[in-house]
Amino acid sequence: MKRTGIFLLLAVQALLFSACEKSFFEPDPADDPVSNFDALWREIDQGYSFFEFKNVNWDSTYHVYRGRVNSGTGTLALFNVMSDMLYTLRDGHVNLEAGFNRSRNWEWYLDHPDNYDANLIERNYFEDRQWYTGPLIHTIIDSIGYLRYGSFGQRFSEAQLDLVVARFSPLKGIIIDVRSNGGGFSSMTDLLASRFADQRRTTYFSVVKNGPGRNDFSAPVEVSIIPGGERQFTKPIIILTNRRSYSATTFFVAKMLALPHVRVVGDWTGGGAGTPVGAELPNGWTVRYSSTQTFLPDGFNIEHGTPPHIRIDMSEADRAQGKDSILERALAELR
Amino acid sequence: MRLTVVYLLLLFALPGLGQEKRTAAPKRSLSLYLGGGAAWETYRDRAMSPLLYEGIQGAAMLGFDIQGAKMLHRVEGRFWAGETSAQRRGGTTENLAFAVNGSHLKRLSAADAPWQWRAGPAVLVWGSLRYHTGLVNSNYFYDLFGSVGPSGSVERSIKMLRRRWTAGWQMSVPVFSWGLRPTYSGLVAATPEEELTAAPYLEEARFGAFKVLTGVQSRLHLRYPLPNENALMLVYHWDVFSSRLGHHPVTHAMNGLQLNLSIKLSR
Repeated sequence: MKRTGIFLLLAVQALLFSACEKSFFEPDPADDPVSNFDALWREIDQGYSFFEFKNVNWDSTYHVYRGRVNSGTGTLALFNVMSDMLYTLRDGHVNLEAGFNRSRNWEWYLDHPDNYDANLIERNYFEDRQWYTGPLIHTIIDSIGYLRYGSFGQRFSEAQLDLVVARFSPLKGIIIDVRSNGGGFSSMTDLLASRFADQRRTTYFSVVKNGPGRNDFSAPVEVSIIPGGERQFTKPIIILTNRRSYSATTFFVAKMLALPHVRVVGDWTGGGAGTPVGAELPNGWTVRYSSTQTFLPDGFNIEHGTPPHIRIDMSEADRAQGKDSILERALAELR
Repeated sequence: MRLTVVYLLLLFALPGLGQEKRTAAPKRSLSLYLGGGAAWETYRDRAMSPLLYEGIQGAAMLGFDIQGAKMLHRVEGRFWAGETSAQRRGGTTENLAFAVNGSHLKRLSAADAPWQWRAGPAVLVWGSLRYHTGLVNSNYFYDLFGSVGPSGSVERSIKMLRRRWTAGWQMSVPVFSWGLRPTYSGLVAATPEEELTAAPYLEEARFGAFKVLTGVQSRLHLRYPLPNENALMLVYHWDVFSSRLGHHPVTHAMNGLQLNLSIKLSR
């Protein structure tokens, strides 16, 4: 009996101690419409990076939308109010994900010409001679290399990229078509750009939100383009862009703009130069928002896109003749 | 599956090969122990979510005791892996965690006293990494804490089922700590991989007493003697810590139950 008591004494003492566990934890956050609305507003308030650049008065935004939420607001109505509030940020990297729907703002390309027709290129330029090297589609048009990369979210290997560069190395120029490339992995932009760099060059500067204050940012970090791979193609290169060239594609173009043998033809890229981060709300919904800013060496903020050297849209007349005006202009520049 | 069981049994038996036949009582004895079990993990990491995440984790443990006439030197590492989720409201995370306790305990009681009290300094380390499957870019969250602080233990021998069992409890608390937490946004400025250094990740690292970390490591064990002074140990671990380091507080608790095999190696 005594021995059992001793063991029980030790066990109860240790277990009682661990029962104090709750005292280490903060209480659960309230999960009601007002609390969730406030949590979303606060998360953006303390983490979003473009209030000043976009001239958004987030404090007044709170008062405008907070009035539409009360303790009886339903799930769908709450989602709509929150979506409307986030819409004012005019940012393709801002989304509220509720499981049943995702809020978004696609003004950055909807209000602009499409400027890309995949079928037209496949039918009239590829003529079934294109190679598919992973996600890299490439062919030779009139002694000019044409490389199509549709998404930085699709990874390719160094060997695959080196093969493309080797194929193009005897040619007098390359066209890199990243129109309607909506972005993806930043590491892919480094890899792709490395095969076209003649030397290390400064491309842009990046600052990261590092505190809850509106202007709490890290010191600017210099980002460089560095030559890589078996060989680099340093003859003339033209990049084709449209407004759907977004996020990582904007970073890629910004890197390539540092190279003297690169020009950009088409429309501005769509921007999206704030790296997005995510957070959770008390009701389990997640929000994604931009948390960095990116500046070209001359101080130009590329959140709204990078400008082309030659601004041109696809014309309907060309399209009717089976021609891509932007691609034709690039070919003419390189011939 | 059967082959795996055989391999595991062999793995457990291998340390026994190091045993020597006992000729005289050694001045110090070395016991190696290893085992596995499960733990219930609970945490709230405000860098990731305001929600409480919970889930069962697989657990493994490896350690040794060096016991002399007056001292007990104990080092043990515990490792956990598994998933957690936020009560059906939030996302899912994949988790890895570990805790290390190295203590140097001096006997305070008389050698023949029924209650064997010990106390001394301890080095405590906690580390955890979680990957949130529903977030982007800032989806890795981590903490790493190293501390020194006091540790105390009590052991009592119990005769039960015609065997001499040992029940014991050890508790350690951190006092002086160094801690590392994710950066404010969970990001560092985009830099080519070959130029990335650890410096930006160390932005939220601090050293300090109490404010950096509060916590407890508690270990309750029951030893069942086996031949040749080996033993089976049932161990209940409770690890909890809370930190306000950086901008986002984190609280983390692990309640684990493990079965260990203790192999005594004389020296």
